[in-house]
Amino acid sequence: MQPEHHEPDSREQLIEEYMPLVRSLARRFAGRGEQFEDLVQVGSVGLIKAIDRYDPNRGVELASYAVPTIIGEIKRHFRDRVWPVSVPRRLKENSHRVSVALEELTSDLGRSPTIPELSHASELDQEQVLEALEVGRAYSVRSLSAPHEGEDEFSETDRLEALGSEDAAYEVAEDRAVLAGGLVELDEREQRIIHLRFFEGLTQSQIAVEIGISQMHVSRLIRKALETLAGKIEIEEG
Amino acid sequence: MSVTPSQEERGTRPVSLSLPVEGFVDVARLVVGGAASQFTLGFEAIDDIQLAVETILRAGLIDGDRATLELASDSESLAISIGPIRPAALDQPIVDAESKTIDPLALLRQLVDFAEPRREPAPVLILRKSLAPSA
Repeated sequence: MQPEHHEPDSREQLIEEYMPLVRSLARRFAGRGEQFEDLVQVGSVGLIKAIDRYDPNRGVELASYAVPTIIGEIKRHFRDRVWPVSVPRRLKENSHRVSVALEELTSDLGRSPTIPELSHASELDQEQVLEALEVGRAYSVRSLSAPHEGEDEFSETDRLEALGSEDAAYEVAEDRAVLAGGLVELDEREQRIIHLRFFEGLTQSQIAVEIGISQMHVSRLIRKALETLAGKIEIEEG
Repeated sequence: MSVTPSQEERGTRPVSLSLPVEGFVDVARLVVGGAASQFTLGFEAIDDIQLAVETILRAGLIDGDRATLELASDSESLAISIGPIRPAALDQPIVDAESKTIDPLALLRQLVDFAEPRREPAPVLILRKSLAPSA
């Protein structure tokens, strides 16, 4: 796998070609509280950076050049994913267990699992499951939904969205645009998720598959977006 | 011996909650989530109900600084009444800061199976979520 160049028309091909490397590296970091697919997506941002910066004239293989960039991106993701309040380790672990059970059961059952089913699968009682879900919602979504301070990462967000996604057409017809006014307040990722949920009628789990992130993460992003939209509503008193 | 009440028994135990709107949205979410989890609803369905309640409380639809939530169920659905709703909030259109239309009821109807205002005896929003197993 020795690419000679990275012309624009081969960029997508290179990304596809090196995704197994990203998945391999992401696997090293699995089991640390993050969904594997989320790590793959973050790692793919590192891959794109590496492809764009790669100079074949230096005599280094792209794979060798890309590995530290991909790992760096994943590590930065962990560093940036902060809990807004101090959360005890037990709750973090329970949150992870429930999150994993949620993904597995949704896949196995073909529907969203009930709380008793999550309780059984995660070997936690139902109150602990509810507590874990609540803790999961408190998790910061900053690193995947917004630019990082001091860096021009807006383009990265674009790249993240571009991976494996169709072109988003957010300009909905006027008669359907009941939310369109507020959508401009959302970042592109949130716009896409809100579009899929409220205009296309997809469920959270369907969006998770479509976007390539966990269902829990979709839930967080929808909640964050709705908070923004709710803040935009003003009522004219008659 | 199981002491867990059946779904029918839970349906006879309505939950009522009165709370300040400001600063208590998370409390409302917890109570609604806890009550909804007593039924055969999936995670997504529960999350949608919570999102609907949170949106109503955050969007300034409540008349005054306190809200009352009432949860009740029959064999088919979980119903949530939220009020008092500002009378103007029941009339369309509701507009955002840039005068572009936002219809909270359209949004809510994507989250629950039924979302309608009820004006008498007091203006409230009625949300209803089917208890049938979701796909």
